Amino acid sequence: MKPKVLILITDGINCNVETGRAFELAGAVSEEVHLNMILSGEKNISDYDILVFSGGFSYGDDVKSGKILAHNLLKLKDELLQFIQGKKLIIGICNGFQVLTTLGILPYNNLGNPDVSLYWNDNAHFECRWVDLKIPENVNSPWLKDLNGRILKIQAAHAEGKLITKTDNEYQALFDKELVAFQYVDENKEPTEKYPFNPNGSKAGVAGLIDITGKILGMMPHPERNVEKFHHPNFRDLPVDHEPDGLKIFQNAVDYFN
Amino acid sequence: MPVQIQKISVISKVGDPKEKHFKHQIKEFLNTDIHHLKIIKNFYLQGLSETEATDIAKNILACPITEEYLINDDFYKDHTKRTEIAFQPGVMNPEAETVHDNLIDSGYKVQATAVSFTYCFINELSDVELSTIKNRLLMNSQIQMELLAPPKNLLVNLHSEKTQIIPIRTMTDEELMELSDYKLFLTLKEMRTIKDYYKKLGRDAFDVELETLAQTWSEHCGHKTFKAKVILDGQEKRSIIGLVRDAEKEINHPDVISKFEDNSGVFRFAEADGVEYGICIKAETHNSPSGLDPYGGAMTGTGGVIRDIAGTGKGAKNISSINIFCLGDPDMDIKDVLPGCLHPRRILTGVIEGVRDYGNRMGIPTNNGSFHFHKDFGPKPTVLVGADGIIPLKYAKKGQCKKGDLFISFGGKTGQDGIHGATFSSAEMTEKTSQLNSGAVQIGNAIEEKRTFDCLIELRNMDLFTALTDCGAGGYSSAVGEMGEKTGAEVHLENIPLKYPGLSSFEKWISESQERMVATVPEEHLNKIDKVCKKYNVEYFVLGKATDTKRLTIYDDGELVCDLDMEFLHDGQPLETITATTYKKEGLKDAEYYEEEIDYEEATKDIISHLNIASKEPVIRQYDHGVQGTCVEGPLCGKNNDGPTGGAVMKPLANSDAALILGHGLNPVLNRIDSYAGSLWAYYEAMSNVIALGGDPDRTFMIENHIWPKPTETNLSDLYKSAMALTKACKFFKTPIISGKDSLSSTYKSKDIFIEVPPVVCVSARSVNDDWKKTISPDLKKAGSPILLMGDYNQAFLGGSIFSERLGQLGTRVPEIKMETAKDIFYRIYESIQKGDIISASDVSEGGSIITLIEMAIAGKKGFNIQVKDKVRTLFAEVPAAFILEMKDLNAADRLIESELAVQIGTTTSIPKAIVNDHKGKIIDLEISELEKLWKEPFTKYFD
Repeated sequence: MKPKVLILITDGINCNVETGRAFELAGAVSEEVHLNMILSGEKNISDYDILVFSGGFSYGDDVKSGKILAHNLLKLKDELLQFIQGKKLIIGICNGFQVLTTLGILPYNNLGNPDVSLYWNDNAHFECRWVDLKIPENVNSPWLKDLNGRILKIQAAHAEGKLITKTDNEYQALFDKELVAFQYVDENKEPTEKYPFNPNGSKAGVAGLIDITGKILGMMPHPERNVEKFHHPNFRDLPVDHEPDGLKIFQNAVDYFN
Repeated sequence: MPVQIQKISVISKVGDPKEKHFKHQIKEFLNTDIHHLKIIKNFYLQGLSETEATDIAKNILACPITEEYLINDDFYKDHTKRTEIAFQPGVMNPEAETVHDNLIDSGYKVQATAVSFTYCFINELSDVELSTIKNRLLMNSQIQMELLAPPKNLLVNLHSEKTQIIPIRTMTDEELMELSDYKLFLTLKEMRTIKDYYKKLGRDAFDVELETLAQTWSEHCGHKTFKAKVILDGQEKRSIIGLVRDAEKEINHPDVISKFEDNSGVFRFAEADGVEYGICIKAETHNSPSGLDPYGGAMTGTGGVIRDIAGTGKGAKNISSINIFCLGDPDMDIKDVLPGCLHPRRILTGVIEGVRDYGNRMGIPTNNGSFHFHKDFGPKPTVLVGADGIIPLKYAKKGQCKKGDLFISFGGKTGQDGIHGATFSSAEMTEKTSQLNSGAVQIGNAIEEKRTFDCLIELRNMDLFTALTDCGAGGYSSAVGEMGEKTGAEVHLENIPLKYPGLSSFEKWISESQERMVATVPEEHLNKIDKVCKKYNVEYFVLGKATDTKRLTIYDDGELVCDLDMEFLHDGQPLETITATTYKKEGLKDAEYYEEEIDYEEATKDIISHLNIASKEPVIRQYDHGVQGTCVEGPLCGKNNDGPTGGAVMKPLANSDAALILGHGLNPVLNRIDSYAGSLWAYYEAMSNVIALGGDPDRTFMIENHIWPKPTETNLSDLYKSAMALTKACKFFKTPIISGKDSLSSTYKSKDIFIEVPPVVCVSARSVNDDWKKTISPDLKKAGSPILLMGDYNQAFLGGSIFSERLGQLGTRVPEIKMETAKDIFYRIYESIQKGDIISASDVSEGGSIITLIEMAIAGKKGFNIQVKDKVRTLFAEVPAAFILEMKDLNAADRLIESELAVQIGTTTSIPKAIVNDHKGKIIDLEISELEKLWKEPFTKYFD
């Protein structure tokens, strides 16, 4: 079946079009739905299979990135909880990841009580660059099927991407519980905190997380920006049959429903 | 009852990286060592209780993981040296607006919201040092202020003035000019024309009417110099606009959809899913506001040019944003900064932050731009912003509104922002400018613009508009004045939602508050408009309606405040005559050198680290170039994505392979030597940019921007020659100019200083290739490839080159090329790229061919070994329409060499070294890694 994808839009979301296209290329049916249409009851998230929080600057990133949208989404607490419990998938990319962590959905489904935060990059400004992301061997998520151990080239573009927990133990727990989905790696393919391989200084190079069920993925870099050959920064050197690095993530989501 | 204001202070508990950034900037820029700096963000909420404030702090304003908050109390009390900085009342603060809207939405009865930052230092700092840091780095007194005590009332309430009647009929010439100065900025001839109009009417003028005339007739909107009759050296000539129009008519390009008639020019691009699309292009300057407040100026400049795209036809989608900056020396001594001006370094960082914060939020990729430094840009920077859009051709033309159609305004509220922006931008900068015209400076709110655009595209697709336009210079007066020109318009100013009460009628009418668009809509569509606007949280209102009176009639609260003939408004402006005289440029000298005595390694190292050449990566990385997923070749290319691309390649339609190729050219110093040859050089650079990437010379379209000093008899002759050069080139190459904008105010004047900023002509080129796979990039691809230098070096003069500058001279002659030869080169390169013979290419630009080759090597992490004769000119002359080409193989090379326009100068190598030989041996033998370091280093210090 072709899963139905809801791309949430609201003030300041701006990666909705290309994210919708990435899902379409992967074989899903995607629809942009404005938050107001959900709040008014005109649209219902339970009618969809995949819920997408795409990139952008929701509400201008004012106060803190993702904060105002997360606050507004608390009005949909019951619907979100129900969605999470069903056979459904959620992805948050960049601003969407910031929303999911601020909401508390990632990593522990503590809606309204966040456990982690995505804070200002070490260099205090927005940074757009291609990064290499490694998928740890032990992480288990439908989004990352067959990707364990692989390195993907994806573009990062954010100002607030450094993962912070309240304590060091809590940070370690993300690894212990196998919730780390992506790590920035250096030229030796080792997880790194070093700029520019890691654009924000995130400890142990953490670039993305899953929840304990693996059905919810959040990541800072933008996989939808590498779903066609020309997207790759060195596409002229790639073999003819090259499969775009980011597309696999979207295809995995579609495969989950088949 | 006293006003209740709660203060919520928030600090980072995980180390705020902005503190490190400011400490670094204070050290780098002001040479002051700071060990302790703490930043507090404060939210002021009016009309709420302390309990409510606590809830808000906990649930909305402070992050429980990374931040702490206090209510009505101070953090860092031991940091006694502190300064709290806020926006002045009435200045747009997007964050305060977001918080305010969200609180209202969450049920709080908040009356007003403000945000400030407190910078806390300890006693190591003297009061003088604190004051310097505050004034030089932290605060811009144009838009911000220091809060010395807690604010007593956050509600802005102005005292509005009634509409004035101006007794213009009885004014003397002196009185007319007094009225004009610093307000209307019109000439005596124009003031007299207006006086005669009212004499004929038999009444005096409302201030709203005079303001409307001043806006419409301003240089900024009316382009009077470009329309003026020209007397050059005693001979009557075609007006500049006439030259441009004649050229376009002669070219008569089949793909031009609209030119100079709309907010941007449109050309036919490609078909996808059965729909034909066009590309909209526009570039304009935003110099004066950027000089006063670089951050807000660059923001509103960007916001304005993308509104021009959005307001083309019945609405277009923005697909790329471009910015070009000509700035003073960022390392100049602070004490040499002229009165009323900001330090160039502050302008540099400010404009970049402005473009970044607006463009990134809009979700528009910023994928092309450039920097040009010259000390004479210090007093008045040149800030050029451009944008491209995509539009289905069926929406590319505006329709004509009919009697009864509504003028509907969408987007932001109206305040005192930018009053006299259009007239002010046409005036020269003086030491008093910063005090007199602060209304001309404002901050943009990208999120307002983004949601408004999203809403308008949905409305466009429902076919509800007859026409759509933006509110730019002149605000509603220009938007309604233009849309109702043919019919007449009736406007009701009391309908305008205000940011704060107390605006007088003329202020509502000419305010340049950002993020507003106006559409003409048949009345029956109002319900549909309402529904879509609600969905997108976009405010709209009916400003007035089209009539059949051919008059502009404006009421405010029932009172008539303006009643003008549309004809007088649009066609009544007296035609100016400009007298221009060719003059001999004084003081120009050629650089003297002896070819055999030059240290070529040192010269190369100096030139590659020149600010005009040095890597702009620290800036480019702050702009989002990947959003929308359309980037084929962005501003950086090559193996490690760190080489310069020159232009850019985009694939704007998901279901079409068609590529849009972007490039631009300018070199301000060349115009000081010879504005005819200098302007041709700019044209060639723009063309060469797009040709090097695979653009089709038959499908290339141009934007012209002249940024000139305040007109004088001598500099007008340069302007006219520049226009002659450009139009001649466009006719010859059949590349129509379809958009453009001029700004003739690049002059600084004070009691004893008079500076004419270098005259800038910027040519932007947009080219098409039907298949993105047939475009190429400039990074060297492999070892062993033949390297060709293609170009005509017969007129390879060194005037205006960085090589000459290094020897302390401007030079006397600009490098040139015959048009026939250039045409041959462009077509041959295009064909060779399409055949696959050329695998990488870059045009020779500032610095000369050696710099081009090094940049290609840095990008590809390869080396080269070349042999040259006529060393200085071959390596360092900045020859137009010359290219470095990496050929697939020797056969491919031979096919181009046959043309006798290209020579093989060497081959690429796998060892990353730059090796140059003359007939005697090596003259350059440098590691590419060393050159890369020199090239990358200079720009980093401004942005750490």
